[in-house]
Formats: sequence, structure tokens, C-alpha cells
Amino acid sequence: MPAISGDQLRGHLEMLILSSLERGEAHGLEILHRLEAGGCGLLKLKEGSLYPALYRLEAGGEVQAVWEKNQHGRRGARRRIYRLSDKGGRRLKEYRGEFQQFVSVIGGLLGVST
Amino acid sequence: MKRAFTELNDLSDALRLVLNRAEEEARQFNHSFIGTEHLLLGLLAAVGGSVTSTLKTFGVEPGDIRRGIETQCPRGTGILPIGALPLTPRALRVVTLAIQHAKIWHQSQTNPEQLLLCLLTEPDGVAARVMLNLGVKPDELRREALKVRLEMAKIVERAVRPVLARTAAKRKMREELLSHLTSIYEEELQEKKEPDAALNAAAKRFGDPADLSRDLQRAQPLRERFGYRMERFMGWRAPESATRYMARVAAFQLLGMATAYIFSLGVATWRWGLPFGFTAVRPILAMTVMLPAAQFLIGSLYFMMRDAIWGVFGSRRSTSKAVLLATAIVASVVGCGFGFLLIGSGNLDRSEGAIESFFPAAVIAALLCYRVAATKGLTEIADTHWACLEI
Repeated sequence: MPAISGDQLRGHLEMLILSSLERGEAHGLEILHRLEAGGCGLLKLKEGSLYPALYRLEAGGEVQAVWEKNQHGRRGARRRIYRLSDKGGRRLKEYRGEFQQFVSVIGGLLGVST
Repeated sequence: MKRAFTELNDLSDALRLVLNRAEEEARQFNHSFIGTEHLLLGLLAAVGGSVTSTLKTFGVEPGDIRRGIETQCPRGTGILPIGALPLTPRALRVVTLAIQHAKIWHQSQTNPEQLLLCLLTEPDGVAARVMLNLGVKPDELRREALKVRLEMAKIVERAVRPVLARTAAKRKMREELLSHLTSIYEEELQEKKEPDAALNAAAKRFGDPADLSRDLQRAQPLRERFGYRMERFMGWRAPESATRYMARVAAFQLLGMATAYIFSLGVATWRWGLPFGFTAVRPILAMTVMLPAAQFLIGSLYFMMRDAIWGVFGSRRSTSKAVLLATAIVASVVGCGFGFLLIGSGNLDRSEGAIESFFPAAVIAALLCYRVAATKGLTEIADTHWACLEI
């Protein structure tokens, strides 16, 4: 099966991030690892592009972010820890409904059994 | 004297180890202090690896360094004190500078290469003399030692610099993206073992900076774009000098004030005729001249003071110089105050008691400048370094 590229993910990435944050707060790299693990290695995403999506979510109040306080002896710049907000949780729930509808309608038209 | 920097409580484990080894070296030389030469030997003993290989690019072996130091520094003869040996002022400057540099590039810990570079900022120190004699070139060493870190910073900056957003927003992006890139570089390094290959792989995973830049721009709310325009208009524009920046701001202020003055002079002359109209708006004339002058003087002195406090941009770290510059700020404020009175009222006779009122204000202004330079200075300096990075 061919990998799913970043371009195909456009528009869905934000919701994928919200969904990965449902499992608890995480920094950027951790979110990416969660997505990769969940996508069975078929999600091919340029890692930098995660951040613009996170910034949009943050500006929209769907995630909240704080700088990490303890770096656990890690050298280098600080990371930011993202957490799903109540608003983000609601948005995710709505999106799930919309997506389900999209899949069933388009899937039906394409003759794909869903 | 060792206390002086433990108070900075920023000593990373790596740096602590280097200092311990440096102290051992000093004791072996029977020296009652830790100088730059001991720091260099401590660095080679404690770290080896990356530092040694950096020096090897100049054909310098650790043994050459030790021999060089031994010829320059004879063994001490006195009896060593009990307890921790003090750092010489020069060595203390080197350590402090290394800690600062780490902060500028968002490293929570000082890395050994940074300390090596800082040793070269004290050309009269034994360590620098020995390295220079052996043919180490400071500029090339800087490139070699910071190569990977600088490359990562450049990748980040290529993505962040074109974004129309305020400096504060960019600061956040820079640190977070650098942190991500550093993490994936380290992941790749574990696998590939070779810095260049790891850096290439990390850059590939990170994505094209130009694409990222476009995405980042789209994620900016409108107020960031507006903030960017405002900063671009009145703020510092990389890579102009502080003097040029202040001159630009002062010239803009002069233009605004001159317009206001001409307008009010016109109104006053029309209302009261000459010469009373002219006299009536004299205070505005005084402000037109003195406000931009004060802006330029205090602004320029502030930047000089900041650079002296932190020892950056070619300025030597010196508290006495900073205090001197703060005094110059006091003098400028008082001077501008008198200038204002002189132009505003035409004579100083009526300004008795002015010094009593100017002086406290001037002292407060200077203290405020000093405090801002000491607390916010490093952030400004870091922003400047990023914005001036050659990408």
C-alpha cells in the first residue's frame, strides 16, 4: 500500500493531532510518534509541518501549551507540552461525526464497502 | 571564587566534570589557582572525543597542547591551600561566557565545544596562546566546533525568518522547532553514528524550510501580521547597528515633532501675531529638538551598556564600564532637561531648582535602563543572534 503523504493529510492533520492528544498531554515529537505508531508507518509527514497545525489549534483554543519545566537532563532547547482543551474535545467529537458521514456518503458513491 | 559561578547554578554536569578535572590539573602543576590552561587540559581529560577531534582538524594532538602548556607554565613551588582552588578572573570570565553562549542558542547545558571556543576569547590567556601557537584559527575553530548546532539553527531560521510575525512569536517558534530538530538529530545520530549523515537525515525528516515557512505563515493570526508591520516600522531591523537604529527612530520622532511644531506655530501666529505667537509655542520647539536627542542618546547608551553587561558584540564584559555608561545616561537626561529649559524659555535664570528635579528623574531612568539590560538583555541578544544568522 502506498504511504499517505502530508498533502493528502492536509485538513485532517489538526484532527489527527487532537485525537492523539486524547491519550494525554504530549510534546511535538511524542505526538508524531503516536501518529506514526497509529498509522502503521503509512503516514509520511514532514515533521516540521506538525507545528503550524499545533499553532493554529492553539490560536483557536483547541489545545493549550506550556513550556516544559523539567528537561530530565536533556540537552538543548525546551519543548512545549500540548494538552487537549474542552473546546478541542468538542471539536474532535463533531469532526468524528462529520467524517463518518463523509466516509459513508463518498464510500457509497465509490462503491467501497464501509 | 568558585562560589562566584556556582551561584549561577547553571553548571551542567559536563561543565562540573571539566572544572573538577581542571582543578586536578592545577594541583598537578602545583598551582594555587585554576587558569585557562588548566581549563583546557581539564576539557581534554574530561571530554576527549568531540573536542579532541575538533582540534585534530588543525593537526593538533592533545599531547601537543600539554607540552605547549608545560613550556609556558613552570610548576609552582608553594604549598597548596586546602579546599577548592579559585579560578583566575580570566578563567571565570571564560566559564561565565560559555554559560551565556549556551543560553543564547537555547541550550540548557553548556557543551564542551562552547567552552573551547570561549577559551579563545581571552587571547592573553595561556590556553589561547598555546592553541594559537599550534596553528588553531579561531574563526575556523568556531565553524568546526559549532558546525552541527549552527546548521540546525540555520534550518530553523530559514523557516522562521520569512514569517510575518512579531519577534516574541518567532522566538517561540525558533526554540520549539530547534528542540524538535535537535531531538530527531540525536535519534539519527544514535543510528548512523556520523554527524553529517545524521544531520542530513534529520533535515530530510524535518521537511523543506520554505514549505514550512508558508505553513507557519498561514497559522499566524492577523494580529501577528499587524504586529510585524509595527515592529518593522519602529523596531530594530536586522542587521542594522544600534546607532543606526536609534538614529532612525530619532529622525522619525524629529519629523513628527517638527510637523506638530510648524502646525502650532502657524496657529499661534495667526491667533496672536509675531513675536508673541513664537514665544507661546517655544516649549514645543524645545521638545522638537530635545526629545529626539534624548531618544538617540539614551537609546545608544542603553545598547552599549547592555553589551558591556553581557560582554557581547565585540564588547568586553565589564561591570565598571556598564556603571560608567549608566552615569552617562544620568548626564544625558540632565543635559537634555537643561537643553529643554534653555530652548523653551530662552534663559536658565528661571530654572533654579531644576537640577533638583532633573537629577532624581535621571537616576531613575538610568537604574531602569540598567535593570532592563540586566534582565531582558540576554533575550534581546539571543533574538539579535538569530536574526543575524547567515542562512
